[in-house]
Parts: sequence; structure tokens; C-alpha cells
Amino acid sequence: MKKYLICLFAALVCTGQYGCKKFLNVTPLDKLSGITFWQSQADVDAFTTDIYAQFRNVLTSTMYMPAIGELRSGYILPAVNNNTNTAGEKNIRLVYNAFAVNNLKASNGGVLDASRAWSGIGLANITKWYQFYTIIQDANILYDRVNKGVPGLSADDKKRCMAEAVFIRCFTYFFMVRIYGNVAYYTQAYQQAPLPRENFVSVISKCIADLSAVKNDLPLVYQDPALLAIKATRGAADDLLMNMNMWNAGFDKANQATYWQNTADLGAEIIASNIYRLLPLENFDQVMRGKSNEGIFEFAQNVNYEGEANPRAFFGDMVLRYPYKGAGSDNNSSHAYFTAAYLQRLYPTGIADKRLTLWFDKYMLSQDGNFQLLKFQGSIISGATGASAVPEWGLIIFRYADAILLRAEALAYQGKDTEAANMLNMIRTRAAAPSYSGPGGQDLQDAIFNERCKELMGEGYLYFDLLRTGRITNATWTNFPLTQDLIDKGAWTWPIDGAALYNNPYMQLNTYWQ
Amino acid sequence: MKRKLLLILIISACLAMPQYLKAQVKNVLVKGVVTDKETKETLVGASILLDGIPPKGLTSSNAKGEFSATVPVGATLIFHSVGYKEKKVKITGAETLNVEMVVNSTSLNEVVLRGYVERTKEKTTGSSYTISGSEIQDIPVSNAEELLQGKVPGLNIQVNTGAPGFRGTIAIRGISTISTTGSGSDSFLQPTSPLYIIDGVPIDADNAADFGYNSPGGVSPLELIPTEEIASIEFLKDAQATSEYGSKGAFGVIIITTRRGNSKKPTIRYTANYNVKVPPNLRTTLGGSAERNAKLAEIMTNGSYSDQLKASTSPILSDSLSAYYNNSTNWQAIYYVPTYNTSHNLGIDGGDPTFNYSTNLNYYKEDGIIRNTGFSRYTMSMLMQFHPNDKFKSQVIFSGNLGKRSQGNGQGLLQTGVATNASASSLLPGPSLFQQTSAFAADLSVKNDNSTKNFNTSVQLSYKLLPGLTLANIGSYAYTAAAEETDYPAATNNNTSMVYSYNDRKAVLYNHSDIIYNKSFGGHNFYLHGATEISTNNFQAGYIRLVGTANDQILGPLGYNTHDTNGGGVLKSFHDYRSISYSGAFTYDYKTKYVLDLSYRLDGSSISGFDSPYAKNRAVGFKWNFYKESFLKDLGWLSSGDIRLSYGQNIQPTGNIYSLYGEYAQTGIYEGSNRIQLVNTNIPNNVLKSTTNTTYNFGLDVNLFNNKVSINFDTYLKQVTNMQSSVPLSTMTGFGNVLSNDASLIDYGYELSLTMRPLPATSKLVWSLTFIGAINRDYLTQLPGNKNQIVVPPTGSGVGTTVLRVGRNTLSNYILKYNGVYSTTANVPVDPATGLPLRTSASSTAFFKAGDPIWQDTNGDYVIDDNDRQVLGNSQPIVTGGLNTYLKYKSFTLNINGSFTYKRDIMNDALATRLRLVNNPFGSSVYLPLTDLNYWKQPGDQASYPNPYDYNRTSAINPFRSEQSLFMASGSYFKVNNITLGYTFNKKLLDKLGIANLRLTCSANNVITFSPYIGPNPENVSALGYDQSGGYPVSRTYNIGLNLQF
Repeated sequence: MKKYLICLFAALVCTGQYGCKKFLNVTPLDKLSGITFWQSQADVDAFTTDIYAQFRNVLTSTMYMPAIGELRSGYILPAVNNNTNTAGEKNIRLVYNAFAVNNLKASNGGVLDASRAWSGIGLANITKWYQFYTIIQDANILYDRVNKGVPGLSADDKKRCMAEAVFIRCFTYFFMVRIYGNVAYYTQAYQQAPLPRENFVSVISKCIADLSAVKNDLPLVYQDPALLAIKATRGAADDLLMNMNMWNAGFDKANQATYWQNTADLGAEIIASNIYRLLPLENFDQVMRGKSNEGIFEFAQNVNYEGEANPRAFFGDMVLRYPYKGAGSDNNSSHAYFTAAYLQRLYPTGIADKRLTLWFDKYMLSQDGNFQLLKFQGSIISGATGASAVPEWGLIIFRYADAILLRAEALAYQGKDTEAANMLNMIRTRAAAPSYSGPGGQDLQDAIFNERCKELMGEGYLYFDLLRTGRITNATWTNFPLTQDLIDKGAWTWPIDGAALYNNPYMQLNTYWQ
Repeated sequence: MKRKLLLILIISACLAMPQYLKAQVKNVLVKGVVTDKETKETLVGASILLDGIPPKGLTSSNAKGEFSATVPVGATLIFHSVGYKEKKVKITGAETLNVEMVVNSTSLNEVVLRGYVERTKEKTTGSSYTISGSEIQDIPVSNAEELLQGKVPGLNIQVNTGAPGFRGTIAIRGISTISTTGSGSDSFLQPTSPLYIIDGVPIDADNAADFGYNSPGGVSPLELIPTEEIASIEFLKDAQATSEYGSKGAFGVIIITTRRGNSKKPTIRYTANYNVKVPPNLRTTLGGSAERNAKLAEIMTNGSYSDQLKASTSPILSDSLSAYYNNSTNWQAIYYVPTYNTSHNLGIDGGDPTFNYSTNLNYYKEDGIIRNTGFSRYTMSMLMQFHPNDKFKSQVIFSGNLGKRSQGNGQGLLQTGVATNASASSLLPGPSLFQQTSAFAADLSVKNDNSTKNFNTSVQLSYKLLPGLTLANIGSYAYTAAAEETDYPAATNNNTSMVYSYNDRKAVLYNHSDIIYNKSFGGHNFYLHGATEISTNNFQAGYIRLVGTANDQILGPLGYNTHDTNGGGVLKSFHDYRSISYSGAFTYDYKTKYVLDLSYRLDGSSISGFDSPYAKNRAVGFKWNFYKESFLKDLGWLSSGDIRLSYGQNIQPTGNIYSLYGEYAQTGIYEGSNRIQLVNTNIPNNVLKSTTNTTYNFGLDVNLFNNKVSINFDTYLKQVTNMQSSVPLSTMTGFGNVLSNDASLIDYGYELSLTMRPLPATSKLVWSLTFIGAINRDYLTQLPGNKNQIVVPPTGSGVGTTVLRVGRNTLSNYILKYNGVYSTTANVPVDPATGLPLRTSASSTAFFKAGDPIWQDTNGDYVIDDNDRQVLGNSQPIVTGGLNTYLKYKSFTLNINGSFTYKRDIMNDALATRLRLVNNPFGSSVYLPLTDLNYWKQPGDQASYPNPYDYNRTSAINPFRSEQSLFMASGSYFKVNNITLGYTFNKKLLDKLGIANLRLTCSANNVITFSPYIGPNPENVSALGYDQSGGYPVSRTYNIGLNLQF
């Protein structure tokens, strides 16, 4: 009897286990935990969407793309004309002078000098890589969680989501490398141990390997037209890979040939996919607004969803004025102009080019606040006033013209001059400019570089093109050349915020800026 | 009448005992009186049982101690009364039997609760200590915890606030956490209160909103227990003793048992207390012209020429004839007032072992010594025990309690607003109808009503299924609703009235089931115990704040946007916890000489995640009752003695599902789609381990000379590993912090309790003396990331003043080292590199000079700044204890309790404030005399304090900053907690009045503190050792009490 009772009790205890586990499973009503989250495709989508949105928030937090990709070329200088009602704006523009002489210091009137009028526009954000690492962690966590299995996710979707995570991670590292040089690299989810910085060529090589392995899991296009160009596709991955290959080709000279070949092949793949088109230049406002057939990868910026963005995030804000921007009283002067010499070099007199006629007006060489770069013109956000009354722009990262010209460049380096010229001419044809008929070799390479300067003007490529092609050392191609010695010391990078040293004994900052 | 009663008794006795009827030969009537052998007082309600298996209850002594019973000749009567040794008397014939009972002074036969199972103390192996309820009577306090100070070895209680309805700090065996909030004098150590078990039901004494003390919310459940109702309190200290309570018992367990009825005739006990609470000595201030003269003298001596001119244009200084400034207002007297309070308790109990009941009504009211604060309590409880036969036993408890607390304008424990306003200049006119500052109005006219209502029920059942096999169950439900309403009149809140209304509710459902089996043969006793425990715990709090009601009288309706509803909603403290536990225990003993305890418990909780929801606790204990050995049996002086050894591990799940798996939050919309983000404040750490307390304990209990001397000694080592702490991460991780648990500390110590009853039993004077002492040392052994030192970051701005350094005591101060005063300017060191004297920043041109403090320039850079701070002091007390004595002579009793703390470093912020008050002669603050301090006056002085009157130095070097060792002082003290004088009235007199017992008491609480500390009160400091005299001072109470029993 006793034994029976004890057995009964023991049995109760054992069978109770399952019920208890259920009993202990309390779903919190006030917030989501990692347990209750990853339960459906919708959860994965919401998380992925957030990562893109985070990146968008980084890029719109300040004058991000112009600062990292354009201003340090030295060709862009402040217009000193007043805006009628906003005289203080003139002092903020003076930061372009500091950029033009590569003075990113936190003192002596440098870009990061907190005592200057421009300190309020948040350029110091660019030195804080924390936000990028949050994105990298999220991408790694996305990969990890999807890999572990999410209910209701098909095998194809699972592969796609994981490939998307890899794309986001590689994209972020590519961005970081171009800003900071060497960065701490990891692909593990929930990384919490401190790491040292890793050579950037190696980082990019790893990214190339990672992304190449999974890029075919990405779709060519999404069924939902709302996702056009704002979500990772095979084309976006291809273009990112081309950019990464060409970046490494500039620094890892030993393996140049492979990088060139890869770029050429990837470019061919994009063209062959027959998804992207070069839009007529007359409709270029569609390209800059985003979600066009020319766009390969962009961040969405839609006043309906994201609200009015910080206009400074867009290059167009610097080079437009009334009537292309809001009320005349606030916007009667552009913030900056391209130097006349530079524009004259790109557009020699007498050569037909629609870009010259459509993108510039009679003040093209005025070197003052009358200057405008009309490729950024578009319909002004309805209802917006004051500084926000700017055309509705998307954050265009990669577009078809970039892919075509990168392929042209790679082919030209490989000596495949005809093919390279064909690529170059695709762009020229759209601009109704005469086809390239010059010799191959250096001339062709220079022509392609100039074409990139013209076509991608203001889109955040110029400084990086100068760097990776080595033209940064040559006064022919930049207004403020750096010596090889300065480049080796890291003069081309941005300073890194000192907080990076905290809790990380392996960390070093960019010594050039110390 | 008596005969009738007798008849009924006989009949009922006969009915109840049919088996005895058979054997009955002859019945005789036995009458008599039961008295206390020592005091000769009659004992009311002593049970009289007829010996047998089991004993049968016959009757009990009445209010005069008399009894009568008819029993068979040759039978044995057992006399039983709580607190006395059982006495057996064989009946040989009809007789008058006067029974004298002896107080049970040994604790060995005490029945103690172990995991809801009763066992004799002789068979327990863990470390525990019991005090009886009578030791904490006669002193009216809002929280019984306060009265335990100095009474239990290893229990460190600091009554660090006098705020009515608030608790001090309590810790068993040293520090168990490194989590702190706030900084400087506002810093708090995370409370690690022991688990309270009240009549079998676990109670969370740290009210959810109590953390940080300055939060809104209700009254701790502990404050709702009237001290009059407490029968005994047991303290479980080592991991073996607490093993049956699992993770919840990590910080020790305190078991409170309330009164039971044990007299057939209902006993009515009425206790009334009338007391006066007196503010402590307030600080001496300069009043009227003395203040003005002091300020003017300061300006004339130390001020610049322009300051001297400014003095003549400052009316508060120069216009002494203006009615507005011609005052000598004693601001402190306006805020701090003596109060008169009463409390009443009515208890009715009765019954016999078969059925008994006890009910208690309590009213307690305390007005705080700071005006507009107070606490009151209304409680009613009912306890019934039903024990119809050997097999079945049940107990039902209901209680309904209401606690009301008013904290005025203060946010809780601290009334810092009052402290600031009470230091207004005496030259200003006092408050009046026409003249009152908004600060004053806020302190005194803000209406705060802070009430907690709870309703508790519990049912305990046990059934002996088979001989040796018992099933038991206890289930309880407790519902607590707390509300706080604060009304700010317009005058107090920028001319806009405001109503703040907070409410919360908490429901705890708890069930515990046991199966117990014991078996004995040939001196071997086995005992097997299995239990499951399940509980749910819901809490939700919310508030509404309404700004701009129509006027000060209209305080509602709340929730409607009269003008500006300013915030509200459900607070983040919302939770829904569930837990489930399984435990097993095995005990073996051989003739109660050798006792071995093994126990194991699994604790599962809804917050510890799914991967490993169960924390495993284990404990082993061994006891050797050596006095039972034959070779020691003949030692006359050894009454009893034993040695205890125990080891146990207590695992507490730390963190929660958010720290383990991350918290995901909605962050808006991107391109028409929802965004959900992993919140990047804390990185999910799914390798978070549970905090582990490992305890080793050695104990020795000896009773000597016929129990005249009792000694309990314990020594222990407690290792707390995997302590949780938030560690900042590198920016390259993209997350802010990680909740890590790589911190560890150890506590070790010695505890001694020594009780002496030196006088012979025949003496008319009864005297007992108890000494309690405990030494506890703690060392920090590990910090996360193998760091050597972490400066606890302050909440808000500024620098941390608490530091954790491996190898030292756990919590140290991080402050400048003060080495005296520069006697002359020539003594100030000069940087040989620059030729510039010492200064406070590399760009400062204000150099140190004569009369400035000598701070050690630790890094030798001739600049005194935060980098020169050093790790100094220990904010935790090392030695704590108490001294209690009890004297009784005829009808008089005298009880004196003292407690002490020795070796503790506290930060004398009161002195710092006092010295800083004189740094603004143009301001409207009061001046305190500094004549008792040896401060620097002129070059060549060898002074203890820098020159406080050179007010220009404040902006230059800030000589009286709080974070320096000048203000680090010894916090040792000896406090006479309370003195109680009692007088019991003569029986004969009372008989005529129909009163069974009447006792008058006269007591004083918080009588006097002896300390080298020059601040107001060395006990009125935060858990991190910062003087909180700006908070709520502890009052002194004088009480007259009346105990009446019918």
C-alpha cells in the first residue's frame, strides 16, 4: 500500500513535468521577448525591415553621403551668398572649406570642431560606428535565428532571408571600410567579446566570399512592386560585389586581375538579367526619387511613411535653390558650387551632352550661390515649408549606370578595350553624347573615370573613386591631393570616436587624426 | 453552576473516552491551582490532559489558574502550558493538587517548522535562532522588524529611517549583492531582504515599489502584522536550514508564527499603548542678529571690496529694521514636532487541542515627527485550528489589513525637501496666512494618502494516511491593493493645482503539498519528505496625473482632461510570475544522537527562460548531540550540547527572459511595413548563469549548569558567485551593456549568542542576560571581464563615489584623501615643471593657499581632480550585535535592550552640509555655529578643518566637497534601543474586579546612542554609509502601556 502510494506520487510528479512547463510559459503582455518573437514570416519581415530602416536613419542623421563621398574631393566649395532669412546658414556652409582641404579635425576649424557654427548639423555622428555595428549584430542575429528555424518559413524563404542577412552585413562592412579603413569584423550573432580591427582588404575579401556564396538565393525581383530596389536582390548583391571587388583591386594589387574579372563577370550578369534600364535623362527626377527601373539598391525615403527627412542628408539640398527649393526668401542661394575648372574639365566646350544642358543652367560656372545641379530637381514635397521644402529624394545607393561604368572600368583594366568602350557608350548614348572613339589603355580608363564623375556627380562616389583608383595622389584629378605617405597614415579615413576604446583593450583609433 | 459544569465535563469525558470506560475502576475528583514555580503567578489556560496514547484533553485552568477534573485512580495527568516544561502527576486519590510549572528555558525541545513539517529542534542540523514573541512586546512600532535589532546573531538591522511606515535595512550574514542605484548620499543598495514565512505563507517583504525607496507605492506587508499577535520568530541562516525554501530563501528565512488559542475559556487580551514621539536633538542654529552678524563678519573678513558694498545693498543683511527681515524664526520647530499617538490591540482566543481559535483586532496610529507625515494600521485576523482526531488536522486563517501612510510632499523615505526648507534663514518671517513660501506650503499642505489594503487567507490540511505516512497541504491567496493619492494645492505647484493618483494590485496564489513518511526501529529513525510548490504572482500598477483642476478643493474626476492630463498609464513594473518547485528531503538519526539531513530542491520560474527553467539547490547537514554519549552523560554541568556541520548551495535564477533572449520593440514604420527591433540597450546573454550562494556552516550549541548558561556559536563561509551586474560593452558590439554574472564575493564570520541566568531558581529576583555578537567580513573576489576595479556609475550626472575593487571589502568609497589643512601658503606644493602651485584643473588660475585642504595628489600631476580619488573605507559594518537583559522582582519587570555596530565607515554628509552652509553669506540659508570645530583661522594654524568662512574658495577649489575622506568617519555606536518597566497587579485585587491579569508598562524606545560620530546619528545612514540626516530623523518614543486580560 505504502509503496503503491509512493509510486503514485512519483508518477504524478513525473507526468506533471509537461504541464508545468506549460504553466511556466507566461507570455508577457507588455513587451516581446526573443522567445515570443521569431514565430512567423511576418516577424522575420518586420525585423529585416527594421534593419533597412536603421540604415536609413544613419544616413539621414546628418549630411552623411555628401560628407563621406563627395566633399573631400576639393571641388565643392561654399557659396557665401546669404539666404534672405537664414543668415546663420552661411556660416554652416563654411564647413565645405574644411572638407575641401581634408581637415576633419575636432579643432582648428576642422569638420568636427565643436566650437564652429556647423557643429550643430551632427557631423560627429559619422565618427560613431556604433550604429553600424548594431546593424551588423542585427543581421547576424537574423541569420542565426532564421537558420535555427522559424515556423512557417519555407526552405526557399529561409535561404532567401539568410542571404538577405548576409547582404546587409556585407553592405554595412563595405560602408564602414570606406569610412574608417580597418574595422573589427565578425559574423557571429550576439558578439560581445571585444575584437581588434582587421585589415580592410581582408574584411572586404571575406565579405566577397560570403556574399558570392549566397547571392543566388536572392530573388531577381520581388513580386511586391513596393519593394522595388529597396530590398536585397541578386542585382543589388551583384552591384555590391562589383563595388567591393573594384575597391579591393585598388588596394590589393597582387590580386587585381581576379577582382577585375569578377567585376566584369558580375556586370555582365546584371546586364544579362535584363531587369534594369537606363531611363531617359528627361525623366531623371524619377531616378532620384527612387524606386525606378534604373535603381538597383536604395533606401526608401517617403514622406508618407518616414516623414520629412533631414534635407542635409541629400546632396541635392546643397546645390539647388528657389524655385527648385521652397520659398524664395529662405532658399535664394545654393549652399555650394562645383569649381568652374572642374566642370570645364568634365564638359569641354563644343561637345554635345544632354547632361550639360539638362543638369546645368547659365550659372554653371558662376562659383556662387546661383550655381545649381539640376539633376536633383524634382517635385517639392507637398505641404513642406522652410528648409524642408525640397524635392522628394530617395537615398540612391546603387543604380544601373554605376554597374555599367564599373564593368567598363574593369574591362578597360583588363585590356578589353572594345568591350569597355561599348559599356562606356551605353551611358554616353543615353546622354546623347558622342561615342568614345579614342585609343584604349590609359586614355580609355581616364575617359571612363571622367564619365563616372559626370554621370554620378553628387551621388557619393567621387571621393571613393579617387581613392581606389589612386588618382587621389594626382592634382589632375583632385583639388586636394594626398601623398602616398598620408594615405598610408590613414589621412583618407574618418576619425573614430574615442568611445570605441572603452571596454576594448585591442582597439586603436585612426592615429592620423589623434 | 459548578456542579452542572462538572457534570457536563464528566459526561463529555466519558463520551470521548469509551475505551477508558471499560477499564474504569473508580473516579475521583481532583482540584487545584496551576502556578509558575518561579513567580508564583497563576497560569491561565494550562491544558490538563490524561496520559495515554494519545493523551486526551480533559480541561484547562481558568482565569484564576484553577482547575478541577474527575479522573480514574491511578491515572496520570499531564499539565501543559506554552513556554513551560510539561509536568506529569500520578493520581492516587481525590486530592487538591497544586501544580507548579517550570519555565522551559532550553530550546532543544522547541518544536520548529522545517519546510512546513514540525520537528524538534534537537533534530535540526541547520543554523537557526528563535526568539519568542514576548521579547518584542510593549514597544509600539510600525514595523516589528525594528524590534529585532540586536536580538539575533548575524542579523544586521539598521533603523536608518524614522519615517513612519518605512523599513530600515535588514541583512542576514553580510552583503549578498553589488547592485546599487543612485550615487552619493542618494545611493541605495539593492535590498536583499530575507524571505518571510508568516504562518506558513511566504511573503515578499520588499514591496515591488520599494526598490530605491523613493518610489511611490504601498506599505510593506510586514508593517501590517501587529507585534501583539506574534507568538514566535525563527531565523534560518545557513543553506541547510533554508534548503526547503529553495531559491526564495537565498537571503535567509524568517518564520513568524502568530498566537494560537489554548484555553477552553475564551481569553480576552487587551493592550493599549499611549506614547509620545519626540524629535531628536535638532541642530543648533544661529538665530536673528547672531546670524546676521555672522554673515556680515564673514563678508568683512573674507569678502572683496565689491562684496562689502554689496552687503550694504542686500536688505537681508543691512536692513535689520525692516519687519520682514527682523525675525528669528526657528524653522526646524515648524517642521519637526513631537506627536502623541495611541495603539490598541484586542485579542480573543480560546479552545482546546481539538478546536481552538484566535482572533485579533489592531489599531495603530503614528504621526510622524515631521509634520504632515504618518502611518496608521487597522488589522483584523482570525485563526482557527481543528484537530478532530489523530489523523486529520486543519488550520484556517483569514486576515484583512489596512495600512495608511502619509508621506507629505516627500517622495518616500527621504524628506529632503523638508530638510532644505528647514534650513531657511532665521531672518525670514515664519509662515503665516499672508506670507508663506511655496516650498513651505508644499511641505505642509500637500495631501498625501497612501494606503494598502490586503486580504489574506490560508488553509492548511494534513492527514495521516497510514502510520508514519502523512499528507499535508497548505494553500493561500493574498490580494493586496495599494493606492496613493497626492493633491498639490495650486500654491505649491506654480499656481496650478495637481492631483496624482497611483494604484496597484497584487495577487499571490500559493500552494504547497507534502508527503511525509517516517519510520523508526531500534533507535534508527528515518524520515522522508517530498513536496511540490506552485505559485503565481501578478502585479500591475498605474497612475494618472491631472494638472489644473478647477480649484484646490475639486480633486476629480480623474482621467478626464480638465486642463492637462500630464502622463499616466500602466507602469513598467507590471508582471506576471509563476513558479513551480519540487523538493525532497531525507533525514536519518540514530537515537537522536547522530542526525543526517539531505535535501534537494528544483525551482522553476517563468522568468528564467525555457532552456533551463529549473535551478537546483542541494544541502547536507550533520549534527552530533554529543551530550547523549554515555561518556558525557555523567557530567553534571553539561545540560546539553551538540555540534552542527552543514553545506548547502542555493541557486537563484537571475535575469529574465529579456536579458536571456532580448527584448523586441516596435519602432515604427518603414515604407509601409512594421518595424520590430531588438532593443540594443542590453545584448541578450543566453549563457547567463544563476547566482549561487554556497554556505559552509559549523555550529556549536551548549547548555551548562542546568541551563543557566546557554551558548550558541556559529561560524560560516558564504560564497556568492555569478552575481549579476550590468557591464558596458565595446562600441564595436553595437549593444550598450550586457547583463553579466561574473561577479563574486565571499562573506565569512562568527556568530555568538550567550544567555546567562545567573541566579538560583529559588531566588526572588529573576535575571537573564543575553549577549549577541556577530563578526562579518566580506571580500570581493571577482568582477565581470576579470576587471580589477569598477567605479559604480552614478544615476544621472557626476562621478561615481562607490567603487568595487577585487580583493577589498565589497563596497568602498571612491574619494579624495584628506591629509589636513595647509597651514601657510608656503606649504602648498609647486609643480617644478611649470612653477605653478597646486590647483584643481590644468587650466585653472585659482591655486591652493593657506587654509585650503591638503588632498593627496595621487597621480602627482599637481592638479587635484577626480583622477586623484582613492579607494577608501568600508561602508558595511563588520561587528554587529546587542545586549539584552531581563530582570524580575516580585511584580516588577525590567527589560533593557541594546544594540551595537562596530567598525563601519560612514560619510558624514551632515557635517559637509553644515560647513557648506556658510559659503554663501548673501543667500537665504540658515547659519550653524561652527565654534566646536577646529578650523583654520590664520596662517600658522594647525587645524583639522579648512577655513569654511572664506566663501570665495568654494568656486575656486570647493574645499567641502562631500567626496573626500575628511567626512569619512567611524560609524560605530552602541544604542540603548529600549527600556521597559512593567508592573503586574496583585491577583487578589484583580479577582474582585473580574480581571485575570493587569499589567502596566512604561517604556522608552531609541533611548540613547553612544558614538564617536559627530554627525546627528550614526545609524541614520544609507546602506552605502551616506549620512541621511537630511532625510527622516529617528524619533525617541516614550510609552505607557496597559495589558489587560479577562
